[in-house]
Amino acid sequence: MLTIKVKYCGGCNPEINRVGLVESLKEEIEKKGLRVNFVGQDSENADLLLLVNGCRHACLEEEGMMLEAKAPVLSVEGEMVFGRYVGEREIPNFLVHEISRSIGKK
Amino acid sequence: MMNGKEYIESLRALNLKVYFFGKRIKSIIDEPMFQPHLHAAAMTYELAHRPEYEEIMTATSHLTGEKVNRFTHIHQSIDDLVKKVRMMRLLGQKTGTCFQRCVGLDGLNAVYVTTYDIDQKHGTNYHERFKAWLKEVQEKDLMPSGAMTDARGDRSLRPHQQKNKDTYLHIKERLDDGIIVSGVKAHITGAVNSHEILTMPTRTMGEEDKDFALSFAVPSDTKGVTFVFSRQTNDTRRLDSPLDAGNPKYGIVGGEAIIIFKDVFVPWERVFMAGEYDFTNELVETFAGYHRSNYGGCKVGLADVVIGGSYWIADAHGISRASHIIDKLTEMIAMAETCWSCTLACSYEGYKTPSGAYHINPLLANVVKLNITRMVYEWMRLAQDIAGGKIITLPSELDLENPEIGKIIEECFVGKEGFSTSDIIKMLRLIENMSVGAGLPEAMHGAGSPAAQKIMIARRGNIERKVELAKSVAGIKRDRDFEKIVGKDEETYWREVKERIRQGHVAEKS
Repeated sequence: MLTIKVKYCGGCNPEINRVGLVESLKEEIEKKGLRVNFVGQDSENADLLLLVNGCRHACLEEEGMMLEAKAPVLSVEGEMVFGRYVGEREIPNFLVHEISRSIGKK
Repeated sequence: MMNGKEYIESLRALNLKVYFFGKRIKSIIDEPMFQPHLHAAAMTYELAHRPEYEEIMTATSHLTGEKVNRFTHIHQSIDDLVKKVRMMRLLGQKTGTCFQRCVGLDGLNAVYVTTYDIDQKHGTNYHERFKAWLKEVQEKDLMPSGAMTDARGDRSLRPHQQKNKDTYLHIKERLDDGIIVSGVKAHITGAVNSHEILTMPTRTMGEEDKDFALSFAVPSDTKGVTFVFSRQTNDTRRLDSPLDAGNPKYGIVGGEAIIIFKDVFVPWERVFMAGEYDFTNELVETFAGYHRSNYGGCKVGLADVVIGGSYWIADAHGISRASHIIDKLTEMIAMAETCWSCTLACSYEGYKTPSGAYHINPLLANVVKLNITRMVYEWMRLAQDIAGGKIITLPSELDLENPEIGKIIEECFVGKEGFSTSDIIKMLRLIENMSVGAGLPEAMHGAGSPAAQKIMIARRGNIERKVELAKSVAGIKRDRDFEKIVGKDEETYWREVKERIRQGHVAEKS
């Protein structure tokens, strides 16, 4: 079982539906039959940290979240993931692919 | 890094082919018409050597670790983006005009970002080539002009459809060691006093426009390159007398020129895009974003000068405490600071690109520039209002010096005690220069016309999300936050509210 900690940015003016994106991600994970447990930001232990930034400015990255993270990080930045344009609709699939790789490593 | 004087002297080594008034100009740095533009660009070099300005005028190169002039720097952080616009405002304040070097800076950053992305997709080697050239620019502290806008011919036609292909810069021939290019770039700022030319495509290109999807750098005195220096409002006044020119030290706008490329050879190591039409949009938009953000810095610096000048004139005329003057000056300050807020915001809201360079927030950068296309006219209108009719009726400096009429004119334009007539005329001429001349249409069209900004704003405005917000507040769409607050679903909540209202009405009636 892979544990993913989800951290949302403040959501002042997001380009994407952040909550909807995480919901879609959960649905895709279920469809794929992957064993993943999502936990909130207060959880201490996680195998993967998912940063959900509403726009490319990516406040969570600016706040040093990536450096402080003890686990590998996936960072959504509006319609981008780690500086690559992915598009809002495609992001859940893109993340599932990355998560599958993490499960493989585990 | 060069200082201002060294920069001007460095241009002497170049042998540019420049025409003005139908004649070939022998020496750029000795030509009286070009002097103010040289001085304005030199300020970008001079201030980098001053301890009180070096914090924003210099940066540390990410390529060499050396201290460089910020005008050659690739933005490595949000702080760099913010310092860039602070530098723009400072230089606007120091010169009261365009200091020309920002176009090249934005070109450097835009080509840096785009070449990285081209290489990722196409497996080319543009980025490394570009970095090698950039290193030279930084080490020698060169000023490249940013040559984007083509002559464009019939604008209803795409580049490859033009009857005269030279209306767009294009590749004529591909050789083993480079390319041969021809075409014309129009109104290129600071072109005749730049060491290098950095070209970029002017618009989004399709597959048939492949030969026009082009970016490269050449020294300004490359064989086959010819410049035609442009005219400006009241430009020859600087040949008549310094006072009449208005801003004789730094001039009006940037000293633009047409650049004609006729069968120019460009070696491959200086070519940064050659046919990758699918990246023309990225390059144009990235450049435009950087450049539009600048206008909330430089034009606000100019506003600082014209606001100061307007107050000084009002004071010299003895009306600085009049309520309508204070109101106008306050309006001017509020507009200028609004533009400043916009440009700071678009820098603070910037982001890291895959290349590692930082880019501004494109939506806010376009808002900056759209505001500038309107507000510069408005604050300059108020400056004219405060300065009075004298700004368009002043006699020339030669009349002031005439022994017969000079003294009469001097008495005629005298102001409040403590202000000399000659200073009053100097300030009126400065306001005339800044508010009547080419600076206004430059604020309109420089970095793209208002329609271009509106296209970008519409594209990035995310109206769909705003519709969702409105639907939620109006009660058309489920509002989960509201349901949490009231502790029940919306439907139940409103049914109960209506029931209470109905019961209240029944109770009232009984």
